[in-house]
Amino acid sequence: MTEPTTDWGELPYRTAALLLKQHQGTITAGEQQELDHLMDAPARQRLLAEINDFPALEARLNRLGRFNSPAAWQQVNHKRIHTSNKRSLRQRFYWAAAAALTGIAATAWFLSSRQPVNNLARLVPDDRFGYQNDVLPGTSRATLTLSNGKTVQLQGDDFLLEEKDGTRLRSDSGALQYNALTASGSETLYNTLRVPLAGTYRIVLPDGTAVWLNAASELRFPVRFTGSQRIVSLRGEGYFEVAPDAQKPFSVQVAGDTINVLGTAFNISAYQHGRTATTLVSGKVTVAARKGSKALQPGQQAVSTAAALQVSPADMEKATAWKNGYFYFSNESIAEVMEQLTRWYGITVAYEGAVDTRMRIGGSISREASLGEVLEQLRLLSGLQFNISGSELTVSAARKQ
Amino acid sequence: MVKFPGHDERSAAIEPLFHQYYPRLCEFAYRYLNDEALAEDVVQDVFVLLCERSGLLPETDTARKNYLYAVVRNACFNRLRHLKVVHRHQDEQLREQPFSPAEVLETIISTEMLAAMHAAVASLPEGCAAVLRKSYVEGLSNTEIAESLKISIHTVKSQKQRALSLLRERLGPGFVFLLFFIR
Repeated sequence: MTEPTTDWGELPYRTAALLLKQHQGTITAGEQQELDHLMDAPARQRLLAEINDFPALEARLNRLGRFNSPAAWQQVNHKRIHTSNKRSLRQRFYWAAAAALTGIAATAWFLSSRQPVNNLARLVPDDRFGYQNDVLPGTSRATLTLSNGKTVQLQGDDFLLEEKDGTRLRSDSGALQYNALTASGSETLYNTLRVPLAGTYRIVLPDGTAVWLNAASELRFPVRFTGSQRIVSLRGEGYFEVAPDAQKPFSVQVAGDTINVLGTAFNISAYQHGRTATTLVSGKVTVAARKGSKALQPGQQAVSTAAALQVSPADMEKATAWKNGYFYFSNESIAEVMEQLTRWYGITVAYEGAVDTRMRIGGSISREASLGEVLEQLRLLSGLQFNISGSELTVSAARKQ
Repeated sequence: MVKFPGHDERSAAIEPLFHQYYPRLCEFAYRYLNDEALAEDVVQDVFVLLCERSGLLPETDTARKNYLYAVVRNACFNRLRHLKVVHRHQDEQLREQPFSPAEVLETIISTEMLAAMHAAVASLPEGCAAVLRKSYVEGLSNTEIAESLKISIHTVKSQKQRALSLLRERLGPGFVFLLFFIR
């Protein structure tokens, strides 16, 4: 923040008061003289014209009324918690970096002792939509389990660690990066990255492959691809951009299926028990499923269930919207929409009365929006009524009152 | 030691300032940023820094207001400069038109006038405000208002009269249009 250099003294406040008096017709001759002296005529006319433009004035007054300071003060405190966390972690980062440089493997015990993420921090007051409270969206956060079984909480902060074999892990603004250049030995060590509800995280594997993990998802991977293949396993949903390497094919194991890959970008969604959807953006993959094996062309989606493996043209925007930071609903049932909300806002959903959960809706909204803001759109679209109380969302068909 | 933001001495001193000036500072920032969420973000960030910093705040109300307007103006300027990478063609405008001392002064005056008008509407006595709201916002007749507020029709009429004359006094001609945003 740059220091302000302008001091206007009483000038703006006195001028504003006198202009309002002039507008109301209660200004005295002496005050009028004072005003004329304080401000030149064109500026006075501009300011008076502004408050005589009623539609614009009404819009401005309404806007002023929307800037709600009690809710905003919560936000300020929320931001302060985050900046102070960032600061203390940065100090740890330096400590860890120094340890790595002197050849001492940095251990994670000091990080693993941190408190688990507090979900309550995302519950904020609501005075825009009439809910008991609002819920802030998910953030970059995850838990990393190292090969020695220790866990590290990641919250978009910086740190540097070293695995047993010398592979370096660096976490930096919401992404975890592996560097195996300093590693040695033939032992394969596994790490697991777990993303909780209301979280997301990105990881770059040592071969340069990038994986975006959605909320409530998990990726298990070797810290270094030592053998002739690159194999990782996934739960939940992940978007992969696989670095090409013809000598070392890449594959993802998910819910009993294997997705075999050459350099390519694709999304795998396996939230629903017994159903895995693989959507290919570019390149080539084959899906080896319980019910046979099929190759995918870009723009296609393979859906694997216990009964069948089906390939069909895919809505690419729908499959990758989450990774690009927004919800995209296209002919989605209310039940499906609610499932996405439970994962991203870390809430539970209850239905009250006769809600038609098969009702289908479409639309898109930023994942940065608060739950209240999302529900406001859904309410307008669907006519359903919502109620938030703590982390519980109630959906009802009937209008209140 | 765990420090709980929001419960330390400094933020306790700053919180009343925040509630007093937050809406108008956001409105002021909005004039430059043209985006409500962005404006709120900028003003909140300013207060986050104020809470974290150890320096003293100016002592008089006027000096504090000047200080806050100036800091928010600078924060808006920085935010726009940051955004300009995306909108490079707006560069010239950014350097020239807004943010000249005369322009900033005019924007502060305009914001202060707006804040005063808002306060005038918001500070109507409660009974008056309720009657006005029912009448102009909800469109109810005097009889309906009397019923819903459980007061006599005579009281409805006199409250309405009183509210209107208070507004006329505080806001000058054109006050009728302002009845739309009595909430």
